[in-house]
Amino acid sequence: MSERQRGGDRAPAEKQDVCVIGSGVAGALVAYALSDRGHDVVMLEAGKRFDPANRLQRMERAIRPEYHLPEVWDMGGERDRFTSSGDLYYALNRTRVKAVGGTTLHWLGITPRFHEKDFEMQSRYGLASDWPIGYEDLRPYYAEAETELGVSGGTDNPFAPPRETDFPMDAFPASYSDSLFAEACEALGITMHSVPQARNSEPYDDRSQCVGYSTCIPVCPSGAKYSGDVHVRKAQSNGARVISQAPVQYLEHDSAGERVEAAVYATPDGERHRQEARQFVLACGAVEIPRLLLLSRSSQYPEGLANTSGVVGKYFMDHLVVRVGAELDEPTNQEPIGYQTRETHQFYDHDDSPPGSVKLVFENVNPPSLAESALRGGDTGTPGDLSDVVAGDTWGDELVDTVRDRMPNRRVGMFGNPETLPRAENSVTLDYEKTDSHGNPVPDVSFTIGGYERRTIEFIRDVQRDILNEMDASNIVDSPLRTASHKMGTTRMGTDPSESVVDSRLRTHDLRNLSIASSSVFVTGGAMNPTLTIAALSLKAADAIHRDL
Amino acid sequence: MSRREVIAALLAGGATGTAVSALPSGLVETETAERQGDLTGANLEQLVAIAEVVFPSAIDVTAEDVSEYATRVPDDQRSAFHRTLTQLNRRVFGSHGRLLAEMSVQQRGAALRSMGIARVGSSPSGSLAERVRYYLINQLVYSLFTTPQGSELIGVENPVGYPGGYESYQRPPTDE
Ligand SMILES: Cc1cc2nc3c(=O)[nH]c(=O)nc-3n(C[C@H](O)[C@H](O)[C@H](O)COP(=O)(O)OP(=O)(O)OC[C@H]3O[C@@H](n4cnc5c(N)ncnc54)[C@H](O)[C@@H]3O)c2cc1C
Ligand code: SF4
Repeated sequence: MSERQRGGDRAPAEKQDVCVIGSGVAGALVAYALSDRGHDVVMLEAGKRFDPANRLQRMERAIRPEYHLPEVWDMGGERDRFTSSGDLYYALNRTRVKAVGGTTLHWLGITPRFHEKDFEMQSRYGLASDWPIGYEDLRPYYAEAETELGVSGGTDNPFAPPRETDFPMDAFPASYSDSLFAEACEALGITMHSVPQARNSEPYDDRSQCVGYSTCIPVCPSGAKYSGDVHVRKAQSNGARVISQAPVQYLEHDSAGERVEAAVYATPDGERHRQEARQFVLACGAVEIPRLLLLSRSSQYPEGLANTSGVVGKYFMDHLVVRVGAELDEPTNQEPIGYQTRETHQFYDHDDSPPGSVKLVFENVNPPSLAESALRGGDTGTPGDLSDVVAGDTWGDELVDTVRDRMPNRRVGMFGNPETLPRAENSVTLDYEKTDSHGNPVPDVSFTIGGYERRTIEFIRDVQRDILNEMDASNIVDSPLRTASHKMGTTRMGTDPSESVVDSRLRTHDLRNLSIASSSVFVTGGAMNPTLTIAALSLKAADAIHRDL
Repeated sequence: MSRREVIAALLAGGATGTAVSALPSGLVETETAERQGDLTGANLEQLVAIAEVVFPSAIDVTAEDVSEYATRVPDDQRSAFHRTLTQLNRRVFGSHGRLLAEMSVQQRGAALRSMGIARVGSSPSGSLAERVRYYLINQLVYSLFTTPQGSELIGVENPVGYPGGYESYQRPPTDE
C-alpha cells in the first residue's frame, strides 16, 4: 500500500466524484459501493487507522484494569469533548469510536432487520411519524447488507419480517445457559429463537470463524466480528483514497446555496485543506453529522447547513437497556462468550400501543472477567482504574481461593430493549461554552425519556420477573437503566422539507449534492439494533448517488 | 567490591567500569535486551522468581512460559519493562544484599510486600512499586489468567481473552 493509500499524505485529491465524510460502516459501504462501480472516491476520516496486527494489545487494554474503556480505541481528551444536559447522562465517548472503521470496531454486532411497524408508527398507532419508505423498499437492501457484513442467522424466528434469502451463515447454536431459560419460557408460552449477528459462525469473506475471545465489546482480535474497516479496505482496493486524521471542520456551498463545493478539513500538522467533489456524503454518525451541519452555517443557512426545516439535531434517540440478574440453585456454566445466542421478538408487534415494542435477550452469563479479578489482586468490588489507588493484595494460592469464592457459577441475566419515541426536545446542539482541540463548540447531547418509555419498561420488567419466578430464581436484582449506544434521529427523513432534513433517497432537501448515510436519518427507532438498517440505507443512498453521477 | 560500594556506585548515578563487571548481571541494563525486547538469562531468572511468588502453587513455572509471556509486552513498552525489572533488582539487592532469585519463595514475597507492591495500584508511569505491579506482576498474572492453564484452577475452560473456540459455551457444567 502506498503512503498515499495509507493516509500519510493528507493533501486533498483532485476534484473527486464523491467525498465521503466518516469511515464507519455507513461511510465504508457507500465508498465501497460507489468505487466498485468505477467512481473516484475519497474518504475523510477524523480518527486514526489502527493496525489490525495490534488487536491483541487492544484486547489487553480492554481486560487490564489500568485502562478506561474509551482508551481501548484512544477515545477522549480535548478532541472528543462533549456535554450532556438531559435527564439521562449521555456518556458519548463510550458510545463511539473515531477511527477508520468507526464504532463497529467496538460494537457487539447484533443485526436484526426492523419490523414493518417500525416504518408506520403514525398510521398504525397515531404516534411519531411514518418513514417515507417502508419495509418493502428496504427489503432487497437488507439482504445485500447481510451479505456484505456477513450475518449468521436462522429461520427459526416466527416473528421476523418476511425475507426471501437464507442468511449467509448458520446461526450460532444455543448456549447451555439458554437452555436454563427455555423450560420457563415454554411454560409461559414465550418462543425463544436465534440472534442474527454480523459475526462469523464459519469462515467468511476471508475472515476467521469466531474463536471465542469473549471480548467482542470492545474489540475482536480474530476479526470474526464484522467492522467497517473491512469495507474501507475493499473500497481502497477499488482505488478509493482514505485520508485519516482529517476531521472535517465545515462544508462550503456555492453562491446559490444549492450545492456543496468543498469539505474543509484539518490535518495533524495544523494545515487546513479543501476537498472538492461532485457529490458529498455525510457518514460521521448521528452526533457529528448534525454538529457538522450546525458548524457549517452561512449567511444563506444561518441556522446551519441543510437546516431550513430547523430540525437538524432534533429528535435524538437511543435505545435503553433494561437488565435483570438473578441466581439459580444450580450451576449455570459460566464459560464466557462475548455475545448472546437466544432472544425473543414475541413482544415486538402489537395491535395497540403502548406499551411499545420490546426485544428481550437472554444473556450467556459472562462472569466478571477472571483475569480482571486476578489483576486486581482478588479485589472485584471496586472500579479497576487508575483513580482507584488501593488494589487487592492477594496473589498465589490465596488469589485463586478468593476469586473462586467470588465466582459462584450460579448467575443468570436477561435484558430488554424497549422502544423509544422521537421527541423534538431530545437533541444534539452546539455547546458554545466548551471547545474541542480545533476550537469548535462541542456537541451537547440532551436525552430524556417520557411516559411511553416508562410504561414499556414496566412491561418488560414484568415479563422478566415472570420468567425468573418460573425458574425459581432468587436474589433478583434490577440493574440501573442505561442507554444502548444506538444514536439515531438527528437529521430525519421525510417528504416535507419543513419537517425533515433528507428525502427518501437520503439527499438533503436543501442541497442537491449532499446525502446522509446514517441512523441520523431514522424517523423512529423501534427497539431493534440499528446498524443493519444503517447498512441497508447506505447501500440505497449509494444507488441513488450512482444514478446522479 | 563490597555491597556498600556497589550501592554507592549505583546511587552515584551509574556504576563505573569496574563496578559494572562486579555487579550481578541482573542489575545491568543491557542495550541489546532493551532494543530487542529479549530477556537476558539473568532477566529471565528474576522474572521466573517473581512468577513463582504470584502464581498459584499448582502452576509449574517454567522459564519457557515466562519468557513467552514477556514477549507479549508491546514493542513500545519494552524498554520501560526492562528498566523496571533492572530497577527492581537493584532495589532488592540494595536492601537485602541478594537478588530475588537467590531467596526462598517466601522471602521473595516478603521482599516485594515490603516495597508496598501488593497494595499499590498499577501504573505504567508511576512509582517503582506501581511500575513493578504494571509491567511485571500484572503482565504475568494477565498472561496466566487469560489461558486455560490458570483459569481451569477456577473452573473456567475458556477464559475471557483466550481464543478457546466457541464450543465451550454450549457445554453443560461438568461435575463440580
Ligand atoms: C458498545 C456498543 C455496542 C453496540 N452494539 C451494537 C449492536 O449489537 N448492533 C447494532 O446494530 N449496533 C450496535 N452499536 C451501534 C453501532 O456501533 C453504530 O450504530 C454504528 O457503528 C454506526 O455506524 P456509522 O458508520 O453510522 O457511525 P460511526 O461508526 O460512528 O462512524 C463515524 C465516523 O465518522 C468519523 N467522523 C466524525 N466526525 C467527523 C468529521 N468531522 N470529519 C471526518 N470524520 C468524522 C468518526 O471518526 C467515525 O469514524 C453498538 C455501539 C456500541 C458503542
Ligand atoms: S467471541 Fe468471537 S466475535 Fe467475540 S471477540 Fe471473540 S472471536 Fe471475536
